[in-house]
Amino acid sequence: MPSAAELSATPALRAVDLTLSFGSRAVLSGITADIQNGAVTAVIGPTGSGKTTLLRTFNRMNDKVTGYRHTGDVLLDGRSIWSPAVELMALRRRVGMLFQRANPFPMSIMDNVAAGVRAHKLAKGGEIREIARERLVEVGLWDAVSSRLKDSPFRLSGGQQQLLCLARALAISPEVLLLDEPTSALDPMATESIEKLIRTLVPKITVIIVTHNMAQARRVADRTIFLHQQQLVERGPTQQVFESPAREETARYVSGRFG
Amino acid sequence: MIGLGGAVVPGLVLIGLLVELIFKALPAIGYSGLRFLTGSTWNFGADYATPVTTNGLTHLQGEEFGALPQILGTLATSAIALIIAVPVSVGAALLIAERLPRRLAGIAGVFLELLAGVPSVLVGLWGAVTLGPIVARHVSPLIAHTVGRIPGLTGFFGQSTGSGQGLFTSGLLLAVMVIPIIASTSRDLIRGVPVLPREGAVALGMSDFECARKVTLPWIASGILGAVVLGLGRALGETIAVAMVCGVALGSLPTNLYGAMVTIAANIVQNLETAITDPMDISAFAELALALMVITLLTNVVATLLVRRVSGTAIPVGRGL
Amino acid sequence: MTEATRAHARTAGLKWRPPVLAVVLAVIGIIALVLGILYLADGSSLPGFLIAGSSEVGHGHHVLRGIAGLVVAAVVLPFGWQIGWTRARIAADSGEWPAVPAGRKIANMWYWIACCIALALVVGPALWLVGGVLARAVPHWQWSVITTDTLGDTGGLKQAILGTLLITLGVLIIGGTISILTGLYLAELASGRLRTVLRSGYEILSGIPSIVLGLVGYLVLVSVTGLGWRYGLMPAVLVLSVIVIPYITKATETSLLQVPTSYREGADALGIPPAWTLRRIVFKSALPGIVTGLLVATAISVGETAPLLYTAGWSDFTPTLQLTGQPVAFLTYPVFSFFDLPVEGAKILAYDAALLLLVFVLLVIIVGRVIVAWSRRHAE
Repeated sequence: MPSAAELSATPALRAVDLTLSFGSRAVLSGITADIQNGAVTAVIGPTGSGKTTLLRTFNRMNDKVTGYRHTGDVLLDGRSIWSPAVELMALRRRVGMLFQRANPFPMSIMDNVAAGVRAHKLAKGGEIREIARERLVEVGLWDAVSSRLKDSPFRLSGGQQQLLCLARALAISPEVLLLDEPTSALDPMATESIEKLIRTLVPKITVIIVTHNMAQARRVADRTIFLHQQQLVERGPTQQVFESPAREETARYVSGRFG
Repeated sequence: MIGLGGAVVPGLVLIGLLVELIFKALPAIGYSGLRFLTGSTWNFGADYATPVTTNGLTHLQGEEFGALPQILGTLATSAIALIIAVPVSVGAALLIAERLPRRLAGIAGVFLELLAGVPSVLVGLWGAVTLGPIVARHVSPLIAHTVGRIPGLTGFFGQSTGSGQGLFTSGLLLAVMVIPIIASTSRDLIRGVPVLPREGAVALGMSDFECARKVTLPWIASGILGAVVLGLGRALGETIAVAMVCGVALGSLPTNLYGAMVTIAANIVQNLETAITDPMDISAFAELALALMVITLLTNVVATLLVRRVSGTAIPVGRGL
Repeated sequence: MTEATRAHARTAGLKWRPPVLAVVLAVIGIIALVLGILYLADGSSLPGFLIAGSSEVGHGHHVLRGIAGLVVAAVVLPFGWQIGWTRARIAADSGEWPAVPAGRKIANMWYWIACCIALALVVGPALWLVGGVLARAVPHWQWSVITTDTLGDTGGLKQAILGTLLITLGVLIIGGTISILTGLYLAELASGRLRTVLRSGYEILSGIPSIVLGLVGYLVLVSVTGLGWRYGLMPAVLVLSVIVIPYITKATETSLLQVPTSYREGADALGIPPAWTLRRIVFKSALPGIVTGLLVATAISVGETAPLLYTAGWSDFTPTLQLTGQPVAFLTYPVFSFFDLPVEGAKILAYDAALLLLVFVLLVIIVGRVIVAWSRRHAE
């Protein structure tokens, strides 16, 4: 059992000189960054800075975009995610994702939570129901849905749907969870409950959250990465990035003067 | 005002059509009664003998109208067509919508348009001179020697494999005619599925197959059902192509998959000419047309109910996010 | 394979031994694939088989063996590929990634193979059908067929071509007028329940088999127990008009409803009278849709057979504008009635008519594409 210090010493994810383009359009250039294990890392930056693309690279969601090319590498637990031994389905089991808007599947609430478990054949019958129940309890949705597990998820509120998607992502026990502006379509109440949940996920899970909401980054993130014009400008502990940024652009962005 | 005048035409035609058919069919309904639905003998009667009168209805000697084989034939050919066409159409639609590059997808679309646009008489011609003989010489024997050897299936799939004019060839031809309807609708439906749920499935580590089975297809299930019903409507009413390959065997149930048979529509088009001189024969044809309309409308109603039931529970049809 | 993947493969040196089972399966699959292709490519038999349904049993079996080989290859190769390739990949990276069950990956490969086969089953018959008709019709084709008079079941197709043109023209005039008025009324003027009722009228009509419409047309218009018009231009035009009404109406209504409301509001704001707006702006933007509907109607009028057999009849005489009492020839008749006659001239006539119909369908598809492309460019 490694100590907490050792855990945080090995980065969960590491981007090494990552450069990425779609066709002739450069989206990321020369990104090198460590994502600390068991912490929440926020990726902030103005629109078009490539923060969502960076996030989607970590579970190779960009691979199928036409014109996609990359150089450099991303290491998950020290091994390249582009190694020939990596199978996409396995990678995505280890690196889960939550999207800008809730995207429940057209099946019952229960089946939604169980979808990943069933696909990866991680459990059977009663076990699946038990896992689903645990996850729904974990995200605080159990009381609201326990009596209508067979219903369509589309009747739930937007916040509840997003929580359901979170439970679905957690059900396959990912090591890393990618959050792509998960609360941008939600009201303040739902946003608060999701932010609280994110804090409960660490240090078991490494969380990376892309957000355009700087207050949110300050509330939930241990560390922050600031991207600007396809490049990594600054990274460090959240407090440091926000309160004593080393670079002029960072200072201007976090104080709300552009972006 | 002129617009309203035009707009009531379809309705008036519809009402006139029903009245005319029911009115014309009454003598035959009175003459045959339930034997129309249960009988298997279809006899136009002796044209040159003196007409006789039974129960106040004048008819030719020996006339008998048992439409069971035709009704079953209509349903059976359409069933074969759907069994083949539904998986083929949906599979092709998935490939076109999700995998093919835009240019190839466009070319595939042209083929669908071509198949949908070819007049049914050309499909019938191809079926009669090309597909039928191949089915008779190669495909039917193959099925008879394999599936036909399984105990219990010998009766329907084994035994004599026929001339290529019959149930199996008709079903295949109808499948060819129904495929473009189901495939092009499915393709458009698949393209309309929002990206987010599909990305969610991919991000969860599902394979393309699992994503299609769990997310894409359930998302559009009722739309596909609608397309299938549209195709079924075409298959039930298709006339000329089936008339050219079914063998037009009146009045006997086909004993196996390959035997000659007839559908309601094919019987009307092939035999109306012989009936023109006798009012009772004409009346029987009106009753046949009514039966065909009832079958078509019934399938439509059932399908509408099905769609409503399916979409009423879990599946959010066409529900964007 | 990306650059990084290749680099990894190089550095790891690909130290692996192919598993025996994978090799066996791969070999079986490849042999089946090669045999299948060889059998199918047996050039001498394939065209005969596809066009004529080859009378020699052996040839057909070649084709079937070829197909069987391809099917075996499609079933077996994913196994060999998965087992072999997975080992290779794992050997290339000393790390331990969770393995994805082979069953899931094989199921996925089968899924895509099945989809490819499905597409082949769509494209194949389309090509086969067109090719089959062309292969039989083209060798005998003579341009004089178009201008030669029909003599019973031989001669030329002049009367049939003229008859079809005349019938189609009539359908476009009568059916087209009614449909466009209906569509216009439903989209612009009708509302509420009236609209629902009127719309369900043409929707139900579209579901009625054309043979039923043909039969009723015969009973009401042609037969002496009805109006007694006999076979002729008018019964044919009326029955076909009823058949095409749902298509044109639907196209008109949909394209009118799709005209953005902002056009109308813009015109209203300028104080332009609604009738002018309707005529000059709304109708103009809906025109491509309406023309497409008319195109579909043309294709149906030219391609229908069953409802015409008992309304138009068939005739050796050149059609005139006489509406009733004189039978009219039409182009689908010879295909249906002459193709299996034991007379060589009749068969040739059937295939000539088929060729003309086919060319016409291709023309309609091309024109349709042009209209769509044109209207898209104008919409932008």
